[in-house]
Amino acid sequence: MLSKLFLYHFKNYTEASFDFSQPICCFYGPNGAGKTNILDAIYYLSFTKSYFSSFDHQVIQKDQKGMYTKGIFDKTQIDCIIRENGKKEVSANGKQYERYANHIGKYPAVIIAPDDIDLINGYSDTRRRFIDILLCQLKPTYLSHLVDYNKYLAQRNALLKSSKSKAIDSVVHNHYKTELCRLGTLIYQERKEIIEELTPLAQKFYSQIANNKEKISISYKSQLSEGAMHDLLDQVQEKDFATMRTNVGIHKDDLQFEINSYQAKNHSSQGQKKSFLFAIKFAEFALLKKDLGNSPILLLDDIFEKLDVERSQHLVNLITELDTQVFITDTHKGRLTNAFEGHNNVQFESIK
Amino acid sequence: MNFSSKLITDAVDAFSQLPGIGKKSALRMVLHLLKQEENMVSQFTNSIQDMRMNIKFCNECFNVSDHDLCGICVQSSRRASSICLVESIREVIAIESTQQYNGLYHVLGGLISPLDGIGPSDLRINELVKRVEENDTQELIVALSPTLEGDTTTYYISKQIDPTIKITTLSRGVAFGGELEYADEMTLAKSLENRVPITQVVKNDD
Ligand SMILES: [Zn+2]
Repeated sequence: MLSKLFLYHFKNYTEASFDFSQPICCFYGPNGAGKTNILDAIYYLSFTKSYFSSFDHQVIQKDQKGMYTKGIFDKTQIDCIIRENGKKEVSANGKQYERYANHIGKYPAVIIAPDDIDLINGYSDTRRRFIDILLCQLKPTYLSHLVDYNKYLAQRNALLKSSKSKAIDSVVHNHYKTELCRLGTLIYQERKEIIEELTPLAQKFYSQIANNKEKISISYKSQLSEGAMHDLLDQVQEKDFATMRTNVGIHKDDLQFEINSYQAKNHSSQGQKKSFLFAIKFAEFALLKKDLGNSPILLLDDIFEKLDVERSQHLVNLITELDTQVFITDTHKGRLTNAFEGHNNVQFESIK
Repeated sequence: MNFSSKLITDAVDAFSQLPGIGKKSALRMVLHLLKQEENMVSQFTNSIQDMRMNIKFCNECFNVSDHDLCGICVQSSRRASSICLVESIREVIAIESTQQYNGLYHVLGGLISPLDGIGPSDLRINELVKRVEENDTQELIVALSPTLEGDTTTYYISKQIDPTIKITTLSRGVAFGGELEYADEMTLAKSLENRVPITQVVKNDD
């Protein structure tokens, strides 16, 4: 359990500290007060990066050069520091990690934020990111495979581009192809396995939140399911040279979400989509808990907004049954006190 | 910053072009030189100019040199049967400072990286292949950075070199997350001693 959080020059916080004594903590206050930034700081301690900002310098308070975030998880103090020279340090009880990958997954977290509806409505990169975040926490090697794959992909694409002006070196090209196939196949296997595990869990949570008998499915769409990546690459080689990029690989992967055999993206109501989103995220939670033996922290950003009363109530029941630490933000205190009426292990914090 | 003299402005601008030197530090250096005797300052500028105008690259290993052959290549006590392959002269300096290596070097001049517009023909690979063929080279120690570009270059070279020559590489874990030059002398010396066959790093696919 996270019992203490300290922020210094993190986003809008010059200096702030919080003590958490209850498993459920609700932050309420007006928009722009910085409620989401608290969730992001907790996420940062878990993942050594922000959920909402792509670049590290974006978590530093305006006009400042560095930041410091500290969290006490049970008996371990986690420090994340960005120094004035831009260097990042992550340490546990004062001992600095050599690789962030060794930290990721130790204090797992699952976040649900308003823009996450893009998981259903948006482009495939959002869905790949979801799977990648899940797998990074479960398998320490996954992240390095993915990083290397992307680097080889960028090098191969640059090589393909250079073929316009000069003949490319076949030894170098074959090396890139070999490495892309080796890493791509590893990543494909990992994604395939995890998505198969995800579906039954998501179904259980979906039924609970939507309170109906609709059947959902999550399927993995990958070109690699059609054959070995090496063969696929050979088949598109001419096209790759013509378009000057790599046309097959796990960078083209996608997930398909269906409700009663209809694509959720095009055929579902807002309520169904929200239920689906929650179901996927809770399935992620359940998977992490099972495989890591460590209950992830739930970070719920403004989840009750535009959610009907019935679904809200099912969601609250689910959250309280999960038996984990939860942080929730909302603009209205009343909505939170109503939702958690009758539960006494809830802490309320006003953020102004 | 505004100076009353254009001469000072130009000198400050010149210093601030150096890596890691801002305007403030540049001004401090200029003011320091201003206090010195004139001949001391001309000695100072001459040595910089001499360095740039007269520096050579060794005909054999492409290390920096004052002559056609560098100080390392001319030493008869050096074991000529061993060549250590490095990216740049910075790594030569780093490995030399360990005092644990008694062979020769070959400076590649970069790593294969299409993203940076560098292909095999931009590097001194043909020179290396020729050198290994013409001399009694028995071992090639690859000391390139443990990055994807380093690995690609290592793989490429392993395909060009006579397969009877032993190719080894520094044990990994060295120079973690960074370049060879940042590794401290002890770790670098250790990884030189514990070098491993190249097959442990580059997977053979054929
Ligand atoms: Zn030389």
